Amino acid sequence: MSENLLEIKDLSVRYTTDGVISRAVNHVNLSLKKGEVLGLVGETGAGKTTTALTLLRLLPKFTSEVEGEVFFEGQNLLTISEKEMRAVRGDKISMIFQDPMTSLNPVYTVGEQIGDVIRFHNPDLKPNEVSDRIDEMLKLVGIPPQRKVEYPHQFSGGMKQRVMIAIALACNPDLLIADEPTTALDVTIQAQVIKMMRNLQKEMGTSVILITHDLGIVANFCDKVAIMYGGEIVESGTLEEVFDKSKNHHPYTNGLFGSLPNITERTSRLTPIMGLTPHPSELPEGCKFHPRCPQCMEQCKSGENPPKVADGGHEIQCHLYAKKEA
Amino acid sequence: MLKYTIKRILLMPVLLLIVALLIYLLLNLNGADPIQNMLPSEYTQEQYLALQHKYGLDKPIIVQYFNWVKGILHGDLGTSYKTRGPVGDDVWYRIPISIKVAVITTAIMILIGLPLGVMCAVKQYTPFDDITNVVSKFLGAVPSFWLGLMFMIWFSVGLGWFPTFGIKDGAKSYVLPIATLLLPFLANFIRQVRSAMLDCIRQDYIRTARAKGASESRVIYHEALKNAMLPIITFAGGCFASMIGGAVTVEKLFAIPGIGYKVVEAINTRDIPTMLACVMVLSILTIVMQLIIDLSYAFIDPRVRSTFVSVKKKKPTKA
Repeated sequence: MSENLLEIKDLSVRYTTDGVISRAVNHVNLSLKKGEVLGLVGETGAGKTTTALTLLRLLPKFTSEVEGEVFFEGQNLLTISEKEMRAVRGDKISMIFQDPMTSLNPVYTVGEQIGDVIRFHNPDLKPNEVSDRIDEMLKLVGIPPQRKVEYPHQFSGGMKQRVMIAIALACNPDLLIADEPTTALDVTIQAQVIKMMRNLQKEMGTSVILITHDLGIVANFCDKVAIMYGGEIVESGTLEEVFDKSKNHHPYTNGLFGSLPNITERTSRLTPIMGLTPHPSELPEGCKFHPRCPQCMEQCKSGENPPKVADGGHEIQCHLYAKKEA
Repeated sequence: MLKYTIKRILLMPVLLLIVALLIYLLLNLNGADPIQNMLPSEYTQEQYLALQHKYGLDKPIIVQYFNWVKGILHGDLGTSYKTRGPVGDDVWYRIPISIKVAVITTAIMILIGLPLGVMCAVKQYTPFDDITNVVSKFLGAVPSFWLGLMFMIWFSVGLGWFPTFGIKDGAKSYVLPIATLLLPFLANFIRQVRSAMLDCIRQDYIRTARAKGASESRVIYHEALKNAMLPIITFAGGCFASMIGGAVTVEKLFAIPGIGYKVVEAINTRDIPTMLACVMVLSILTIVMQLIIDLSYAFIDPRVRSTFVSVKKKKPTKA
């Protein structure tokens, strides 16, 4: 365990709203080494963001319930005090959010907002040292430091996301959680931002959890991949293992790849996964994916979760392969 | 920003002149003959004409208007039809009292209401919020004539702490009127602050602030409150304006010589010069208040500031 920077063990999160219980995350296990980039892939509502917010303990207090353990540098983040947690947020673990348009405070300059996080975690720094650090961070993300006196509304979407990245990296975090950092940006800007993030990640040696539903970004950026469905990790492994078509995969993973357009083949239609993601309050019994699974069998429809089948580090949660091995 | 401020201040006299013209015409063209009201039931034509000449009502209305404006510029607010004395003396005596009451009440409202409203928003879904909510709804619904009477019965008649009416006892005599005036405004103000804060607390940038490691108090008072200030300031400014002109019940109940009751009295006696003077003074106060609110908007919100550079003018609402 000591070699892992982050170790998530049997993590479950439930939301309760108006008496309806939503099981957003169910028994998730994940681990991440220093300097690794993990791609967390899944559809909307799969529990990716909830998992990420749990790591920072930023879930709404009254409506959410968390079980399990999250070890970060050997410390269980779910049991430490709020004060200790604050020292972790922004300093050791930081997060980039999905929508840069609303994630910056409109009434403070971007310089102030970058400076805040530096001051919170380095209270001894003199004002000019903080100011130097702000300039340095802005240069790092490709924004002229003179623009630090400007307000978020004077920046474009891509620039705002760069500011968010500057905030997230300002204290050299050990772990960066990027929650769909490019979803709100247009495609050309997406490529820029991802390229910049990858360069910075390599430069600083930060571990990254990249939450996305874009498999292209995952292929470009990640060392490890975890596919989430219905609050569970249905398949995980290294990038090569998950992306290698000759290997066994969870039917959902096959569906994800099958729904991508292929440049080399001529087809008139894409192959979608039929049906919709189940709402976390109405998860089906048995395998959560079975109502949409093209290879669904009788045993998938009821009982416990299918067993996890491991091939080295490559894990698949499916009856299909359990049967073959048995 | 400075340019905008100067422009707004220079526009104020123009705006006032327009307001003055509208009010003047509205009040003077209502068909009633004030001269007839002033004269005894049997009068001669000479008496009528003499009185009409004395008040300048024999000239065309537009000349009357300019004479009136000229008088105001010289500090003469006109002659009352009722007391036949200068209107100014009474208005200038009452205005500072009304302003004093409104300023103190607004200040207390903000001092108590802002922290309470913020607390309610932060402690949403807790008994503290529920209790404050019920109490403020109750206070907001209580009519001030009843509340004032109760205060009088308990604290003046019963305990003898404060005088029942008038302003002869200095600060003491203002306690009950201000409390009576304050409570309904305070109740609404708390609810306003609470909902403005709730709006801001749910925003994404609050989550960002928490993710940066900000302490809870910093999240609330630094990140959220500044964003919530726009609707709060607008509401507080509105409260101030209605406290000056609209404290009629309280002024009447506690015999406080303020401007609000004077307006009502002037309307009842058809004393047009007094009405005009009061409304003009209230208009000036409202326009100034509106300017302060607009400037504080720009001070708080950079987005407003940047639009101010090109925006021509914003029309302030009339009293």
